[in-house]
Amino acid sequence: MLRERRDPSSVLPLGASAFYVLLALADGDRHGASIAEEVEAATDGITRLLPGALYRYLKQMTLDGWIVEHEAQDDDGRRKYYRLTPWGRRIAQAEAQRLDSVVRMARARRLLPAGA
Amino acid sequence: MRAGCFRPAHSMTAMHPLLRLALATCPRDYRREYEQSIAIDMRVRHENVFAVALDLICQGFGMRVEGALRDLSFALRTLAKAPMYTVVAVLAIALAIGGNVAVTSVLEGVLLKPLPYPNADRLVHVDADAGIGQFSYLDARDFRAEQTTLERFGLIGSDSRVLSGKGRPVTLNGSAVDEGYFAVLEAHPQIGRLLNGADRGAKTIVLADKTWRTYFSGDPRVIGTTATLNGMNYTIVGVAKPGMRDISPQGLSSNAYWVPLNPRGSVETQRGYTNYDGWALLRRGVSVRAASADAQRVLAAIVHRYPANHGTWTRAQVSSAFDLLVGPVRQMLWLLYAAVTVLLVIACANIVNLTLVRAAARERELVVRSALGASRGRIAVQLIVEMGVIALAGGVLGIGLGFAGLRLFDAIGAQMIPRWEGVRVDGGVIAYVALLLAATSVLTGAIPALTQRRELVQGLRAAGRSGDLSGAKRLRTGLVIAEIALTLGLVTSAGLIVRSFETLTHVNLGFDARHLYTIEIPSMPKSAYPNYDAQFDAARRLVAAVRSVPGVQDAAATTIVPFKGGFVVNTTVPGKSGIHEVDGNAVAPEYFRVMRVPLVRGRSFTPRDGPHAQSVAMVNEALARQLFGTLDVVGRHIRPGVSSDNTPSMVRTIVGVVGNTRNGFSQAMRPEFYLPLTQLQALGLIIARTDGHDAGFARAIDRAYASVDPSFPAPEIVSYDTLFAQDAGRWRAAAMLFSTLAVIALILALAGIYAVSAYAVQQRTQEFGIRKAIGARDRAVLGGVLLDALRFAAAGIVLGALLAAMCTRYLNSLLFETSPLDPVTFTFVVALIVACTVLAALIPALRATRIQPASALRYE
Repeated sequence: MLRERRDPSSVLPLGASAFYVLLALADGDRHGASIAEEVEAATDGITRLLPGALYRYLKQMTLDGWIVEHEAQDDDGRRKYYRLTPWGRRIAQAEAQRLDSVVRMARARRLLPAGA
Repeated sequence: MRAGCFRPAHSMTAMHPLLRLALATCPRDYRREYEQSIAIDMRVRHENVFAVALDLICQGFGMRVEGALRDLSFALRTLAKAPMYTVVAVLAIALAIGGNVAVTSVLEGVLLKPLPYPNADRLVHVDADAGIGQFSYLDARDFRAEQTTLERFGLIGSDSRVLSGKGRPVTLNGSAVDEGYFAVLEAHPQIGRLLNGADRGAKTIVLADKTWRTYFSGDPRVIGTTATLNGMNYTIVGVAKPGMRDISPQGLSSNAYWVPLNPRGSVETQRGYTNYDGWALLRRGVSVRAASADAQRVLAAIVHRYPANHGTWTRAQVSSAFDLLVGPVRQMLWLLYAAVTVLLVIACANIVNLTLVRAAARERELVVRSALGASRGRIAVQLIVEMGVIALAGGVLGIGLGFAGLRLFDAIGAQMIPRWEGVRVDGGVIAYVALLLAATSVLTGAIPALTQRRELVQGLRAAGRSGDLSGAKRLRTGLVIAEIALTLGLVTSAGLIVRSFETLTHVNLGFDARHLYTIEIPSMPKSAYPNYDAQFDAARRLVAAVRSVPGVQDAAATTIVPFKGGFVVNTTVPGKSGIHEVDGNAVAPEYFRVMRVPLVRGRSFTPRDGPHAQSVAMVNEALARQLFGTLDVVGRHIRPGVSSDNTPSMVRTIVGVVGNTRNGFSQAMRPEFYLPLTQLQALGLIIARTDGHDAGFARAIDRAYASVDPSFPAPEIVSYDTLFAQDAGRWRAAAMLFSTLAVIALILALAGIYAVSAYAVQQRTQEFGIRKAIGARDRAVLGGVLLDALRFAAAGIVLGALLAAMCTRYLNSLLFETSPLDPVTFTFVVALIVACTVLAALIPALRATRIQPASALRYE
């Protein structure tokens, strides 16, 4: 399907949860529970994605073409796996860059220790 | 993505019932897609079930709101892309809803609300003599004593007096009532008391709230003081409550005061003096019919005892006050209600049609959307949301139109519809209209959506090739035919009513009403004008003063004039048997000259026909023919049974015959006699004709009156234009209302025909292109399109004409000397519809002629 090559910054900034979902998928395909676990682990248990919210994000991201889903068999039966699309990856990159520049600004204003 | 093979048994994972319940609140597609995943995740993650359930419910609600907003914004964007369609649809709804708001408000205020009295359901009018209807005081006294079905019974007669001593003397319109009247209406005073039995014949008065505030500055100490009416002092005993409404067979009114009727007065004691309306409360459980039978029994006995005063008595009748008041307009209001309902149906048919035509044009969009995974349900919802937006916009606009329409109609409505003052757009009406709107948007949205569902399959099969689909085409054509048929029915009804109104207002009245005014002669206090000679002399000076007002061409005194009521008098011809009910009037010699009523035989009155001269009369042609069978009646005699104090019934010699005059547009030319004013010793009005420059007329007349006697109040001046408007009010209102609705229906039908023709032309672009390529002439193409339009119009016209022929008989109460099947009206309306069809189809037809052969190829 042809997709209009939009500027990823048009959808920024992302909500924290959405960004964590993209981050969780950055290093490979995951199913829903695995995404939730990864997000929880990466944030030291501060961000917990309950299934209702998690699948609402996944549904919207699928519709918007940020991720694609496919089914695969594993120990728990057939389940849906999610993978970042190139467009989704660009969005995640753009958000990371945006956050990076935010962090640099914070450093310049001495809100964060330099080079930590 | 359905797996075509066996699933492992554990893939249908069980789920906690609470989660199942929470999931049920989420949108269906979400549920279907993720139920399984959530179940599996719950097994491996061990989350708190309650937290997850709550989260699911929140997310479900969020998604639904999001979805609704998305649908709404999508609908708004779609509609914005089709402004013509949107505007036409919104206007169609707005016009139809406006009509419904206005008519429903009138219907509710007039027909559905009870009268403003505590026991309104038992309130009845007692007709002492059906047709003439009023009681004499003595008959009423006997009736009250002998009847058995009424709980309370009261009398009210009209009364008018000049209030003086409160600035410029002013004429007040009040009532003379007996003590039973207030009990029947269950009225209460705000201060003091109302009238009771002890007041009978006394000089006491109860003031209306407005009178009290206007002339007595709302001072409660007024109780016990006196008011000067017609030069006599009346003791004020009470003030009625502000909302007090008087009842009369013509409607509810607000009187200025109430005085006790005076049975000791010389006139009131005569059984022939029938001046009082009887109102009563039925005993509980008694039917109107039973009360009517009882009234008939009692009055028949009274008539039997006093035959001399009841020569032409026919029968007594009791009728429900509500029916009596709203009866004259009930049929018209229901007809109007039917008309606006038809209008709404036409508007809906029109919108469905436009939507179908647009849906056909959008077919590929919808097919593509459905191919992209939009479910049929979603597309249907989308169409219903679009319709909801249109209905909402149209509804808001329509309610505004309804308000405006009612206000525009206020002046006429107040004149012609009883209880008009209670008409307003209230919550009930708005709720009813909202219900109509909801039904409208679901229906008009669902019909295209449903056909869409069927067509999508075919549409996909046809792979987007252009070409009409037969089912939808039949529906579209059917709708336009129905629309044309209903419109024809409505326009025909309006046509008949307008024609009736035209006929009515162009009947020959027998007199010339141009620039003609009636001016009241004031009641003159006995102190200053002790006898009739003094009063007549003052009246003569008033006539002279009126004549000297610039612009007045001529003036004359009379007792009553056509269109202002009349006196019915039992009259006999000496030497012949039989009593005739004829109209009677007493006039000055110049009356016929001013009214421009032609003298046919003999002579007119002269000043010499005075009280001491021979008793004379003039008659109209109808009387001459009906009582004598010839116009040559000069020198013959009649005996009018005029019962008045000072003129005993006497034989009169006919000296002249004049032309007939009508006492109302819809009334026949009735037999009538005229007496010289001075021989009857009566006075009532001055009739004056001006040259048409009437600015400042009222003020000039007022000054003229004051020049005769400064104690005379400003007289009531009524033009014949006003009298005519009052008389023809019901017809005029019906004509205006029905024509408005008919014009709206016609506009909607035009839009419908246009839409279908335009669509047909668009669909046949290729065909026209090819025909043009092989040499078809423009005229043939144009004719073809018009002919097609006329073909379905013909079906609508035939259907509509049949419909109209069946229904117009229900218009009878609004028709005057016009057949419900009036061929002229029918022919005209059919021609109008044909013309409209051609007009509506002309633009698409012209477009068809401009199709280039090459474009047909490009189009595909």
